[in-house]
This record gives sequence, structure tokens and C-alpha cells, in this order.
Amino acid sequence: MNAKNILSRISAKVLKANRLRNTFAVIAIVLTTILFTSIFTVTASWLSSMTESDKRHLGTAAHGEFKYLTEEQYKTISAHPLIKDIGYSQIIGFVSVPGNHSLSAELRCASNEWVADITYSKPTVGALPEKENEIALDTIMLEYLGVTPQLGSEVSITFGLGNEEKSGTFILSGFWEGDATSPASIVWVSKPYSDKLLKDYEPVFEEDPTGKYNAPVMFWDSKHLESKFDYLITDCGLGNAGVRFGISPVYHEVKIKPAAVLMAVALLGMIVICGYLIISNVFSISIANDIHSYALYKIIGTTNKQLKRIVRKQVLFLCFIGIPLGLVTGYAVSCVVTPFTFRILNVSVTNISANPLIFVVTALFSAFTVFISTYRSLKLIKEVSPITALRSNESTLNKSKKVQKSILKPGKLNVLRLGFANVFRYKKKMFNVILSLAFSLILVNISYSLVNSFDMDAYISKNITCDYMIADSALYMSNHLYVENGLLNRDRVSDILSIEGIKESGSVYFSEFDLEDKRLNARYLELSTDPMIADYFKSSFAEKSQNDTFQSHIYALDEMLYEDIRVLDEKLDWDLFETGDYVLVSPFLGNENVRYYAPGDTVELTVQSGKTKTYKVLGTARVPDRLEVGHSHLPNPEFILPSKEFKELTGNTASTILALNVTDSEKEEFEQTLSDYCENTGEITYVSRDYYKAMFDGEKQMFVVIGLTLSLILGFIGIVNFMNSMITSIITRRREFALMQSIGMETKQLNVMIFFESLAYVFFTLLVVLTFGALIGKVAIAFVSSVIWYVTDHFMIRASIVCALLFIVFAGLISCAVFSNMQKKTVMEKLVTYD
Amino acid sequence: MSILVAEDLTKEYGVKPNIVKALDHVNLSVGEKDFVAVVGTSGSGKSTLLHMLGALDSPTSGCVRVDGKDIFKMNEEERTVFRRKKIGFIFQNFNLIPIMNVYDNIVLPIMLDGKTPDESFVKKVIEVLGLSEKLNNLPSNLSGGQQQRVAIARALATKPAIILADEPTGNLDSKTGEEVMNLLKSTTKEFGQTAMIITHDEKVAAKADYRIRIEDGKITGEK
Repeated sequence: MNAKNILSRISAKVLKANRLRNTFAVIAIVLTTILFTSIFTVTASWLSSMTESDKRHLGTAAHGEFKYLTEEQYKTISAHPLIKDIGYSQIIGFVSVPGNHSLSAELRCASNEWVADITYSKPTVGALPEKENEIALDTIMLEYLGVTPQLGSEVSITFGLGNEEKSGTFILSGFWEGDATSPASIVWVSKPYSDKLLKDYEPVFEEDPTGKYNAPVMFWDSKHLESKFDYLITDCGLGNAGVRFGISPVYHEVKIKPAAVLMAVALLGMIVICGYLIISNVFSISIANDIHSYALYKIIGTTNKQLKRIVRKQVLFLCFIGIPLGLVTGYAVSCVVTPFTFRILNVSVTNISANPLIFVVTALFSAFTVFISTYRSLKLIKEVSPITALRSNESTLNKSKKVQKSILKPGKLNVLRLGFANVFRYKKKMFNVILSLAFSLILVNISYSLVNSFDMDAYISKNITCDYMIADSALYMSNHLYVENGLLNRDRVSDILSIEGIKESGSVYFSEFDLEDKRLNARYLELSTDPMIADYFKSSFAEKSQNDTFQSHIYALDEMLYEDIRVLDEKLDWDLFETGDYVLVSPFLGNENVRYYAPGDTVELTVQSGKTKTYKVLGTARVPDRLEVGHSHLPNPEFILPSKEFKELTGNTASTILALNVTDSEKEEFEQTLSDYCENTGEITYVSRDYYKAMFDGEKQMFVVIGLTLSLILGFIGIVNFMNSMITSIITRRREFALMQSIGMETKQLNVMIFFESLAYVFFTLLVVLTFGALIGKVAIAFVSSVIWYVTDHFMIRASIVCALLFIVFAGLISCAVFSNMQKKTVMEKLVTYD
Repeated sequence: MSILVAEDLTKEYGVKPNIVKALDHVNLSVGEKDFVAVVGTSGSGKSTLLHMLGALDSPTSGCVRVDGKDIFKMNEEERTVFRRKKIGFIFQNFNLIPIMNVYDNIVLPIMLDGKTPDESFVKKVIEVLGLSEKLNNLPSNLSGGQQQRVAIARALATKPAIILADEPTGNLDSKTGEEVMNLLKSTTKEFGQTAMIITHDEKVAAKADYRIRIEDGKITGEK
């Protein structure tokens, strides 16, 4: 046997002799690992689900796509070695679904299954169409077309081909589950069919994509996609052919926000501290108790390096048990918590990541925490003099202290005093335990306060200010903006307005037009000298107009909705606005402090009908997001008019959104009628105050679940630390207690003394929590409320008081349990055994 | 030739003006294979002297040379290694590792040095000390005399240049004490080692080749 072996054997023996310590250490390691695993799993799941959800929303998982290729071009490109996978989906036309505006479907022909797969449109039942009369489509389309999803069913569709409307009847060769969140469906037909259809097709305009190939591409890796596309096009000799491509935003380099990094670092740091506080305490206490033996090892010639190895080996062993246990438990916890987390993040796909990297990184973080936690113990060992072994056991405490004031005052024995004094005998341990307990309580406080800080009114008023908002289904299709489709049908509006219970109503109107203003061009030129703003122009689709016309929008609101307008100037004179001679103008999109017009400027608006009127600018204001059409902010100025003036100017009388307030007593009935009506027509959607209330409750619930899980684990860590300190302290002081009993201390007195010791911990913990902890909590909540707009600054300490009471109960239980266990021996037996 | 030399060895405890001189300019030298007793009343400084000579504690001033090497010129790690090679300790309270059995206790210092125990030598030491039957026992199952014999075996097993014993019979009854002393003397002679025994018991000291008397931290006589 060599020296290394003997060290392993010593470690093994020490491990065996410290069962209680091992248990606490393993619990501590497991808890720390659970925290790390949860954080990493939730984050990784979130990232992967976000990506997956983005891909689905985009309708493709490919790195990118060549657009509008000819067959020839496709053949050249697809042979290039840079490409791992490629396929085409030939553009034919749009399938129309009568009576449903929100559903759009493209008629395509796929080169192979891979294309269908990567565009999330691969038949799960049956296969892609091969024969001329075959077709494949998703279940949502099938439902709208009134076809039962069954292979061989007959499917009739009408579709647009160029300027013509065509129709056809096919046999269903395959179908798949439709995704309601996906913006567009694909309907596959066969190559023979498309060839026949497009044989004599003449393009109807210059860049007519009909019959062209869109080719999704996967390269061997996702790095530098843009240069890969560029290189490929040049290399294929298509540099001048005007080949267009699009890179999937999913693969764009992720820009990490500093706030997110800060949060992540804070969270990880918090867990490291938490783990450190408990693990370090467990080891320090154990090694302080064993210090006599470590001194002994030194006497017989064990070097510090060897002692370090002995400790390290033990730690490694405990890690080998604790970390895998923690990984498994933590992963299980994450599987429960992750879906709750996703509720708030609007991620439709729940992918609980099982990336092995999570486990590796978690294990590394846990091991790191454990190893830094042993630093203090190792220092303790390094500093101990071999002579310590020759002294009695007590010499390890308070080495530096030569004298001690009497803790016993004349008169009756004050057990409380004695208990408190005992706590102060071990200052470092006390400091650690109190810090660990306080840390848990502070975090419990913060999560409790956070949950209570959720401001439902703020949340709802951001999304809706009236009881109901009604719009055409197409309006909410985020990336399709066909205003013609987005307008509410006037018959529908009058139908809805006839439902009983409506207290008041108001409409939003919208129109696109070209703004002609020479001053604006100069203003853009001026703005683009500001680097921040210039940057914005570069990344935005907005470009300086060549002929002084700018794409712009006019919004108009009924009076009921005036209070929803976000006024960015000092107060506006609404009476002046009502006259119809004034207009409100939006500020620059990238920076609301940048204005295009000053109040009092005049601006000439020429609408699509050709009508022109000159308005005076009343002030700067913006229509809130919830009343806008799609997400179609323009960087150019947008205008707001009173609805009466808007109708006169544009001649448009159809509204985009209808806002309603309903009498409370008739709300239920109204809602039922409205919901039935919307379902029957299929064209109209509505959102209500109650809908956002439910959303809010969902988000709040998520924080409750996460906060509760976190608090539970942290609280548990605190309690384990506390228990370890108390139990080990009682065990190591058995002789001291026996001595006290031998000189006449009653068991009851001893019990009370030990209980008071525990109480002292709780007392000082509360002291820290209520002073220092309250400060941290206030800052933390203030920070969160500045980040999440519907959190109001609302800090509470109620939770920590409740937890403290819980600690007191534990304190009582521990002191009784451990002590009663010790009472089985006589005083003399104890004095001898514990010597 | 002297194997153990102390020059001007001084150890002070406390701070001014309450300085206690545990050792006051002690000079001594011990020859190879000597069996020496250090005697003195309790508090005279004899244990302190032993701690200094054995490099367990460092002096305020002065130097100690073991086998010609100044042990306080080494750093701590070097000193530890040097100590486990050259010096064997025997203590009044035995100081055996409670979680290891007799055999492990005996060979532990050798193995810590990264060496394989010289089995035949270790076996001989064990036989001489009458421990053959007890090798698998834990120290807590042994009597005081047996524990001290294990400690002696441990001290001898590394074949150190010097054995330092601090009141080796202090925790034993007089009969066992005498047995242990006889064993200690015969084994050190047999294995050719130098030994220094600290004791306040004249009967124990009488077994030594010569005595060094220490009083108030100073050497007051040598015979």
C-alpha cells in the first residue's frame, strides 16, 4: 500500500465515523444541486422552447430560404457541397376559405418529405401527394372545409392563381395536426398537378412568384449564414441573377441583454452563497469537532497537503452521492415548475430540455460550490498546531480568549442568559447559521412581497380599458396586414350593438395614406446625424423617401376612447381637437423625445381618395398598442383625428375596433350572447376585461409556484443548517452537559437552556431580517417593479415572521428530541464515555 | 557524536509585562543511542522542552539541531516531513487514532511518508511489544498499558533517529508503568535508537543512562 492509498483509507474511516455529518452534508449538496438544476433546466427549456416556438411561428426550422428560384437556378444551387439539406416548395397560389378571414393557406408543391418536415407540414397520417388528383393538408383546414380527416376523402378547394380563381377536387393522400398559432397553413398538391396547371401560365406582373421555387436550406452549421448564402450564390455563378434569400431570425446571433445577465448572475450567485453557507458550516463544525484528531495526524507526521487530500476525498465522496441525487430530484422539480414558467413567457411549445450539458454544468457548479465551501475547514486544519492534540478537547474553542467575564450574575440562575451566552461562545458558527437562516427568510420575504406586488389594475388597464374589445379576426393576425380584411363588417357591428346591456360604445378607425412633406425629409436628414437614431434607420425598414412621400397612417377615435390616447405633451385642449381643425402627431418611433412637428405647425394630409385638408398640429400623442392595427408601427409620423373629421376626410366609415362598456347587471348574459355570436360568424374575435383578469391570474400563479418552490428549498436549507448546528453542538457538548448535571443542574433546566440557545439564533436571525433584510428586500422589489411594469413597489415582512415562528417550533422539537436521547445514560456513565 | 542539540533555546509565553519564560536559554546535547531522562517538577518547562526538540512548537529564540540539521530553518511542511522521518513520539495520553486499529496505528506514519512498511521489522517490533494478538483491536478496546505499547510500537516502526517520550507512564499504574519503561528501554537498545524520556518520577528516571534536571526553564543539573 502506498501513501495515496493510506490517505484514501483514512478518508474512508473519517467518513464512516461522521455519519451524521455526512447526512447533513449530502442533504446540503442535494438541495444546492436541486436549485442549480432547476435554474439551468428552466432556462434551457425556455431557450429551446422559444426557438422551437419561433420556428413554428415562422413556419420553418431551416437555416434560411432561397426565394423565387427558377427550376434551373434551383438545380445549380442544390448541388453545392456547402448545403447539407435542401428542397423546394413551389409557389402556386392562395387557397381561400370562405367566411374565415383569419385563416390563410398557401397552395404549394413539395420536392420531398424533408421540405414538408422542415416547414412543419409533413403528413403524420398518409403521405405527400404523388398523383395528379392527390392533396395533403392540415386538420384545421380540413375542419374549415368540412372534410373528415380520413385518407381517401374528397377535398374541394378554390384558390387564386395569378389573377384567376381556380378550383379543383382532390383525394386526401395525407394530413397532419394543424397548429393554431401558426400564421399560415400549407396545402400540398403533387408535381404532376402543378406542372399541368402551370404549363401555360403567364406571369401577371413583373416579379410574379407563381411557379417559382422557394428552397429552404440547412447548412452543415449555423455560423455566418449570411456569408454562406452570399458565397453560395456567387460560387454558383448566380451573382447577377438577383437571387434573393432570407435567413431565419431564429439563427441570428442572440443578443444577450445586460439585465438578463445581471439577473442570471444574481440568481446563480445567490445559490452559490446559499450552498456555501450551509455546506461550509456543516464541514467547519465537523472539522472543528474533529480538530483534535487532525492535530494528532499532524503529530505523527501528516503534512498539510496530505490532510487537505484527506478532506478533499471525503468531500468528493459526498459529492458523488449528493450531486446525482440532486440532479435527478432537481430535474423532476423542473419538470413540474417549467410549464408554469412558460405561462408568462407566452411560449406555446413546452420542450423540457434534457440537454446533457445542463447536467454537466449543474454538476460543475455544485462541485464548485462544495469545494469553495471547504475552504474554511481546510484553513482551520492548516492553522491547527500539532500541540492541540496534546491538550484537552476544550482547547479548541476560543483559543484567543484568555479570560472570560462571568456569565452568571448573583441571585437566581438565569438560564436564558446562559443560553444566549453559550451561543456567543461560538461566534463564527453563530454568524454562519444566522446568515444562512436570514438569507432564506429574506428571499422568502422577497418572493412573498413580489407575489403581493402584482397590480391587477395596472396589468388590465395596459391591455384593455373597456369591458370588451371587438375586432375582425384578421386584425389580430400579427404578420398579415390587409386592412381591407381587418375592417369590421358594418352589419356585424350593428348586430353586436343591438345586444342588450351596452352602456356605451366607441370605435377606432384607420386609414393608410402617403404623406407628402418636404420638411420631413430635411428632418430625417437632421435626425440621422444622431448615431443612435442612424442605427435605428439602418436596422429598420424605414428609409428616407426619394420623392418626399412617406407611408403613413391616420387613426381616429370616438370620444369614449380619447382617454386611451397616450398624450406625450402637456395637457391637450380636447375641445380644440373636437373642432376637427387639429391633428395629433406621433413622435419618432425609436425615441419618443424626438418629434417631427411642433404644436402649431401645419400639415397637409392627402388621403387615398385624393381629398386634401390642412391641419394644425395640436400636440404629440400615440394610439396605444391595444388599439393599433396589427403591429404595424411606422417610424414615420402617424396622425390621430376625431372620428367625425376622419369620416369626412377619408369617406371611410368602417371601424377596426369596437370598444364596449356593459352594465354590470347584464354582463353575464351579454358575454354569452357575444361569444355565441362570434362563434357562429367565425369572422369576429373579442377580448374582455375578464380575459385579461384570467391571464393576470395565470402569470401571478406562475410567480407563486416559482416563488413557493424557491422559498421552500431555501427555507429548508436554512432549517437543515440550523438543525445541523444545534444537533452537533449538543452532541459535542455532551460532556459539558454531563458535568453541569453532575454539579446539580436539573434536566429541565438543561432543556430550557438548550431551547434558549436555539431561540437566540432565531432572535438574531429576525434582527438581521428586519433590518438589513428589509433594506435588501425593498431594493429588490423596487428593481423588479422597475423592470416588470405591472409590479408595484410593495414590500412586506409578514412572511418572515411566520417562518421565524416555524423555526421556533423546530428549535423546541430539536432540543427535546436530541436531549431525551441523551438522557438514557447516567451522569457518571456520560462523564466517562464522553471523555 | 551528538544527535540532538539545543542551543540557547528560549520560549516565552504572554506579552509584556506578564512574560513567562517556559524555557530560558537552554543548552543541551544528546549523544547517539543514549537513553536520557529529563526530570523536573510540574511547570518546570520539561514538556515545553520536549515540544521544541520534537518540532511540535517553535521557540522564541535559539535553535535545535537534529542529526545536524537546524529544524527551525525549515518551513512547516518540510519540518513535518523531517519530523515523521526522524522523530518518534510517545505521549502520556497515548494519542492513538481512535478510528483505526492497532496495526494501522502502528504503520500509519510510515505510509504517510509514502513508504511500504518493512513488514519483518514491524512484525518484530509488534512481537517484542507483545501486541501480536491485538492487531485488529481498536484503541478503545485496549488497556492503558496496551495502548502505550501501541504508541511505542508506532514510534519505533519508522526507525526514527530519536524517540521523545512525554511522561509515558503518567497514565499507568506503577506496575504497568515499570513494564512499559523496561520495554521502552530494551526496545530502544535493541533497535539502536536514541531516547529522551520526560518524567517527574525518580523511579522511572533511574532507568535512564543519565538525567537532565530542569527547573524554572533552566537546566540545573546533568548526570
